[in-house]
Amino acid sequence: MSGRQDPTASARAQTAKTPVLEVRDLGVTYGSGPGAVMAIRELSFSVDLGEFVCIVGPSGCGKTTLLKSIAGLLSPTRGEAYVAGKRVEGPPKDLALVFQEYNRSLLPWLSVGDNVTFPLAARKVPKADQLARRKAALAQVGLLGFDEKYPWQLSGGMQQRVAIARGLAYEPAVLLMDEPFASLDAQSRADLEDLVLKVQRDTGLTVVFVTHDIDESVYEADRVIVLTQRPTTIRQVIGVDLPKPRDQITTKAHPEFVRLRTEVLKLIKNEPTAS
Amino acid sequence: MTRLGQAGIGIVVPVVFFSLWWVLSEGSTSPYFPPLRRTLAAFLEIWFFSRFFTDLLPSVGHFLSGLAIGVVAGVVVGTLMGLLPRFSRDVSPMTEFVRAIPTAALVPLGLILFGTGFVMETFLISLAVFFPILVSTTAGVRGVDPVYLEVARSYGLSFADRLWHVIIPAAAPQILAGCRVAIAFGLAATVIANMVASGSGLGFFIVDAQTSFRLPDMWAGLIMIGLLGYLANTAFVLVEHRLLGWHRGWRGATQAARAA
Repeated sequence: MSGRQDPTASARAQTAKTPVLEVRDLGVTYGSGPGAVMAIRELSFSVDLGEFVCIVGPSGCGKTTLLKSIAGLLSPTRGEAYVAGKRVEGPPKDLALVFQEYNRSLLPWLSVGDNVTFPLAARKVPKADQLARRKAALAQVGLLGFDEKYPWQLSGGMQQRVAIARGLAYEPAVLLMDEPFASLDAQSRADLEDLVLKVQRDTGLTVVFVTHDIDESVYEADRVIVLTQRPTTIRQVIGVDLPKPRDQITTKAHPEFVRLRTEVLKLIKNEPTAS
Repeated sequence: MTRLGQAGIGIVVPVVFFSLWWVLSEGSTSPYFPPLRRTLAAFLEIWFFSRFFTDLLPSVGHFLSGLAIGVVAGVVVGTLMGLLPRFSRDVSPMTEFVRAIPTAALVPLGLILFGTGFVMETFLISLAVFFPILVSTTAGVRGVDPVYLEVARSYGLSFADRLWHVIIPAAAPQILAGCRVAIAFGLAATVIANMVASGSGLGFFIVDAQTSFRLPDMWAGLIMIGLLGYLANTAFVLVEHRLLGWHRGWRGATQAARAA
């Protein structure tokens, strides 16, 4: 606590790395009185520019609540979140959210192209700009030329690519992903894990990725934040120093990968760990 | 069935129907069921010449203006009721009450308020159109998938943008289903309004023809009403097809995904 007030410490933090996302003493309680449920007790962490951070936790922990607080869809009871230095008081302009339910997060009456650009149109981005950004984003997710299709004409994996393209075209400082691959088949899931890693490497985008899949979190992340059961706090933050670029075969066979996934698993199951 | 096949049947059935009518009625001597030949002759004479401006055009005009007013009012109030559950709870006893009153029973009220003529008839027609649209719009707006709204909110869409670009399109299938019912209600109200309370229009013409024993004219009036209903519905289907092409595909895809 006192460290944050220390001017030298904050100066040091600024010169070393810029946090793009900061969560400070965030707490969320649903309801009030004796029936109140504390979903999040207290969470503080920050995510640096260009970092890929995965948030994992046991099922039923406040992952979605945390995410909605960061995305400005829910006001936390205590504490605050900052995106690109601005306090979150509503949906931040510098954040794009990718939902788990790809088949419900794309608007079925809009074509793929319009699904990517409607947030830009609402922001009054000039038409030519919209088209350029849409083309670049669809190219990044491997869907160039699919503009005229409707999302429901595509497979689940492709639909989620469209949702990712929409996030990319928005050009956010933080791409926030809510268990984005949880409802996909194993093959599409592996493809999309690699796609997101590649896009992140190419663009230097900051990604915060919420998942309940431990392998996925270790495979994707630079850092894994492990949450506890509710009322949620941070159990532990684990740095992942696996070599990049990662790939499904060699990375997942790497002894360090196996060690890390075991460690995260133990933390989630609340068992004692070596570290 | 292919669309071409459906279109074919859509043409074949009426042709067969009218051919049979023509053949079977040709030798008819009953004054109540005149030969179709005579009815059609009356139809052409009446609706394209003598009564075109005095009865057909006013009825169609009243129907269309009543429809337009009823649809707009129904969508606006229905959207409010769908968005504001409390408002909906407060006003729904009132709307249910008025909705239960048949249009014909409102004719005297219309006469007292507006006398005879355009305003009174448009009032009745728009009221008849209003309720089915109100009910379907309320249900449609209330049933918008909350994930759509969350997506729109997370991308910072203003309320007006969310309403216009998310809520209304998402509710459109139900709004249009209400329109289909409303068209039939509106046409019924048109006929009732000028049957009971005016000296012109389609409904008046049929009653007048019947009481003065011009039975081919009465039949011609009935065919005209049927034709108007058919045309209104055809126009509606064309509009729906354009607006809701996505909905058919989307529904098909969701059903296929569920079956798999």
